[in-house]
Amino acid sequence: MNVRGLSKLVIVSIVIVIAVVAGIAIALMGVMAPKRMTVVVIGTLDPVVHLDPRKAYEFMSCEVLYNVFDTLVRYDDVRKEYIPWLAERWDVSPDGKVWTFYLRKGVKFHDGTELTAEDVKYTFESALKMFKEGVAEPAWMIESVFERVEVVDKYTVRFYVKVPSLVLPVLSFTVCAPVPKEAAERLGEKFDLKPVGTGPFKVVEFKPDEYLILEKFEDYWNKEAAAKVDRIIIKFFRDASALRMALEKREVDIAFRHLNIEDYADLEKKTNLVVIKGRPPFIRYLIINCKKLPDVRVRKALAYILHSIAVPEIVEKVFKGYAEPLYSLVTPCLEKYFKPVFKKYVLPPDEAKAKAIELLRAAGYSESKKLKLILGYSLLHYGPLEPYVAEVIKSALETTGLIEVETKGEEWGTFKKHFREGVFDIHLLGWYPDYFDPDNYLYPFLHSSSSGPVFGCFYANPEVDKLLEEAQKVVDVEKRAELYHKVQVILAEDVPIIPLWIPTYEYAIVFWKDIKGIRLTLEGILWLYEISK
Amino acid sequence: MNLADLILGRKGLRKSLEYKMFMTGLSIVTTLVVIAVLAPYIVPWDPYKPAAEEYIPPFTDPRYPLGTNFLGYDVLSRVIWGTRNSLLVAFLAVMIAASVGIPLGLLSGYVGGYIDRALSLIMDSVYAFPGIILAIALAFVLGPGIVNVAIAIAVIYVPTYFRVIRACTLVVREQLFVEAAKAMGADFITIMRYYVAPNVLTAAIPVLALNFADAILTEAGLSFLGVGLPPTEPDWGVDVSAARGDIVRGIWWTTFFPGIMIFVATLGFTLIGEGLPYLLNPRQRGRIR
Amino acid sequence: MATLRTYVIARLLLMPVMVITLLTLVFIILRVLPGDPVSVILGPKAPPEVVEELRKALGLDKPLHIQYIDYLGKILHGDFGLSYYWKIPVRDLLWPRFLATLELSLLAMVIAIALGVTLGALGALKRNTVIDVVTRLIGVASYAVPVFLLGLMMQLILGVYLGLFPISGRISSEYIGQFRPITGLYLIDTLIQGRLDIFVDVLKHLVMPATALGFIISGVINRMTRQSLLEVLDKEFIIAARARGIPEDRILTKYALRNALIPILTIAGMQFALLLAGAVLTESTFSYPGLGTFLVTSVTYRDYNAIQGAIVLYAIVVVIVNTITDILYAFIDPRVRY
Repeated sequence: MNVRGLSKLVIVSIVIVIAVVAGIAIALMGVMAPKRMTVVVIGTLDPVVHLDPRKAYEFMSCEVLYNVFDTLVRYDDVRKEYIPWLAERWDVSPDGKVWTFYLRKGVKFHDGTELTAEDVKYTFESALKMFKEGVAEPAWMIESVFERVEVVDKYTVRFYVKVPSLVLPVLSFTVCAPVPKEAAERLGEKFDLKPVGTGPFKVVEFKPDEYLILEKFEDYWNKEAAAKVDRIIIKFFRDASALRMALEKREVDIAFRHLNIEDYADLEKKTNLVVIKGRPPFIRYLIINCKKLPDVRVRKALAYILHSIAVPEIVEKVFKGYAEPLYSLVTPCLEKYFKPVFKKYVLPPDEAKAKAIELLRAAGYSESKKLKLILGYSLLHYGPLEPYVAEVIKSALETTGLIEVETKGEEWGTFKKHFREGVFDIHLLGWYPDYFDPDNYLYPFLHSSSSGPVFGCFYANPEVDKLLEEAQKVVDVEKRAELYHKVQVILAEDVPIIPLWIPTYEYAIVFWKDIKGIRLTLEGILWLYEISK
Repeated sequence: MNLADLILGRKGLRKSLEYKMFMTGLSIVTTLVVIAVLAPYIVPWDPYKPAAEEYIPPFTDPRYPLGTNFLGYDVLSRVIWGTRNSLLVAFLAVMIAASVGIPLGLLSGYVGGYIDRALSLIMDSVYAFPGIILAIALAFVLGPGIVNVAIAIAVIYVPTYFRVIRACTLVVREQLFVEAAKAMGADFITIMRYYVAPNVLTAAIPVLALNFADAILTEAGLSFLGVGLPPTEPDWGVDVSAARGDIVRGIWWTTFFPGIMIFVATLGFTLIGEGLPYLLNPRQRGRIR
Repeated sequence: MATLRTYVIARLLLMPVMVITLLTLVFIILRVLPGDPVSVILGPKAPPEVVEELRKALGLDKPLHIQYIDYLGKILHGDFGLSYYWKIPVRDLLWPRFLATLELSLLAMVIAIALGVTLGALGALKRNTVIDVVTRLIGVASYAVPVFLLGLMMQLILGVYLGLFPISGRISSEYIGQFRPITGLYLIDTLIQGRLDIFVDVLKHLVMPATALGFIISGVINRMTRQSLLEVLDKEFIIAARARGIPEDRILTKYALRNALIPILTIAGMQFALLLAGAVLTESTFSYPGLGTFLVTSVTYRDYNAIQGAIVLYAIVVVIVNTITDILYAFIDPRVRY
């Protein structure tokens, strides 16, 4: 056979192969379609990093783990109080230092073993040990709130505590969710990829940065909170456009954290999709370096400009209404504790400007001797719009004619190092609460022990320190509210920090109409078991 | 052949495709340089501030001929200012690369021996490596900023100059006039400066043009990936990256215009680099890369 | 053949040297230049003694030359360390992503060769006509167009307006977890498991990124094809064939192209570095979960070990591929030997 004939043969055989393959493909597509379970696919840009609750500290990791693990108690955002969950009930000693929890009997872990007090003790102790090794970041909460754990009997566990008011908030965070001692010890590091919990969903497969498959746990103890779908797949996307496309083509049923802000507004118009704007417990704020700006008049001038000129523009222009001005460090989601103390800095723009100029002049600044500020911000940590926020703040402050602002965008690691060293005069930060309690919104920022070293604020007021410490010892809600109101009033007087806005855009969710049961709770949890299709 | 012959297209050059390519490239580049230099005087709006409401489509409002982006920045002003930044980074990168690569190439080629072998090995390794990946690592460590990006890009091109110059030097150093100079007792510096360098530098010119093209592309790529210029800086790569989310909403002008400028600028320098070697030496068809 | 053998041996011996040179370069960039991995790993609330301990655990308290030796030793044992961000071995993260990149790159290369050879052959055959000019200009354009612009425009037109292809990713969510990744190349895995529906889905995801990337690479192949065909067409046996009155297009396919094909393919292999570089941007544009996206993501997370691992893997792959193509090239073209 000559060469030409050979090549003809090759071509003919290729054509035949393609035809056969295509034929089989078409035939198989009908037959092979697998039996459909009810599957709900959630698309997100926010990575899940850890599935070991002792290690998980990123928002999305915890979000998933709330559905894979159960905590001893849980915050009920309808009744606005802590309710029994894995623990049936609990006693508190009169001084608030000893808490005894009675575990529900017959609660099964995903591997079939039963939850016992031994597991709870193990969870706390192993978390602390891992914390010391630097691998269990959120376990600082256990360390700062609890003294030690004691097993009373198989279903009773006793905590000796340092900070009575924080026992319930911390116990309801994922870091305190019991892990099974036997499985956790056996799996070691691997527990982080394939965890065993007591929750309504179990983890089937986790590919970091690609997908996470959750499956209904049939033996879940609480039939009322059992999963309503067979599977939930969480798919991780790299960019918001891709997520939007996938949602529109129904490759995903739900898009959660984050589409582009413009997309939310755009998708609101579509009839087959639902957009819900939640009010997240997250806050954004500006830290003032009190070492560099010790004059309270200057700080008040900044508050006037920011709340009357900059924040409205940021909310409307940069975030297109997907944000809400914030008037205290405490989130308004904690209704009992929230006091909108910064409202007094909201004036018509001209009045606010006049007020700020007056204060700045009184502090000794003029056109020839301008207040020079370095505004630090993180380039990507808070999303791609941060630089534009910084620009708005800069031009708002500069309208006074007495301030000159230099913006400095830095990568997160460098930024963190710099603001702690006090390099900037003012800098933009954000806060996701560790636990849903006013303490977490005030103590870290304003107590002199952490204000400087953690936030670069360097605020120290003995009166505030005392109030914050006192509030930690009190368990009674009314009394605590009173103390925290006092702190917030002082905050608005001293202005070491200016609360700015609530990032609604980080807590909006879009889903197809036939998906039911989606609710964004005030404490920031999306309960997956409530979802049905 | 001198430059005047070249530009005026004498000696029958005018007909060749290479000549046309070269001239097209030259006019594109000249226009861009003029835009870059005059940018502060010709931008209709401040490219650092919103000019109007967001997403005005192009060709509808004469005040914003190319439309506005998601924050209401004027696209035309951003594109004009972006020319300035892109060319500046590319220019710095090429200059840094040439000023490191050329002396090293001369040294390596002329001196030879172990120095030559060691340098060649390092340069060959870097040369073999995908440029943008090295640049990502460097840009990551150095942080954003015009000079930092320029340095990150420059590192990629040092080996290119090194290789070209070294190869030429190897030929030139065997030439009689170098031997003569050596015999007359000229010192190393003198030989390099007056005898070797002038004879090898012409080889670097087409490389320069092609590197310019590549540098613009690489800078845009780095900025697109978020490791180039800071995100508020008007820059083609930054602007495409910031606007890529618009695509799904069918909004094309915010990515298209900055994107096409990257293409045009790169094309301009590529055409020069393509045409030049042929025009300088019509018998040579290959491209020096 | 003695010289060829010497060249091959020399080239093979050079391979580890080049790898080590590149590893050193990576070390210098990531470790010697400023930057603090520890502050990245630990959150804001880590006590100072934990910071110190971690510093020790990571060996960052040791002198640089010791760190360098540790680093080389670990990599030579295939240990890329733990990802600071994902807290799992970097090696486990790299491998599936590398295979994804490989799948994309191979397909892109096929497209590049098809496109480049066709255009180049067309140009050579119709030398100095409009067709020649057009094919050459397409070649020049392929050098100049940023792959992400091409990608975004394809997404806009083919994805958003026409809805032909998915605009990003590697596989549709509904197929996730429905087949076992045996080779890691999804096209092969789905075929051998008889899941043609998934095969089609994966292929649809690959079309746009592979075409965009393929077009970028096609320019070099286009030029090479044209050039080597022109050279071959000037050779005596072609002139003889022409003299015998064999039609021009048969001369091209039967004599010229066959002679030029092997060098063209080898040169295509040499574009591997260009391909990988282009793949980084392509993957990022299409959110394709390959090594490039992984590198860029790791940069945003400042995950030092992951960045280092990805770059080292790139380096090793590039050196191996370059060595192979250099040797192949030496077999074809005796002039390259030193």
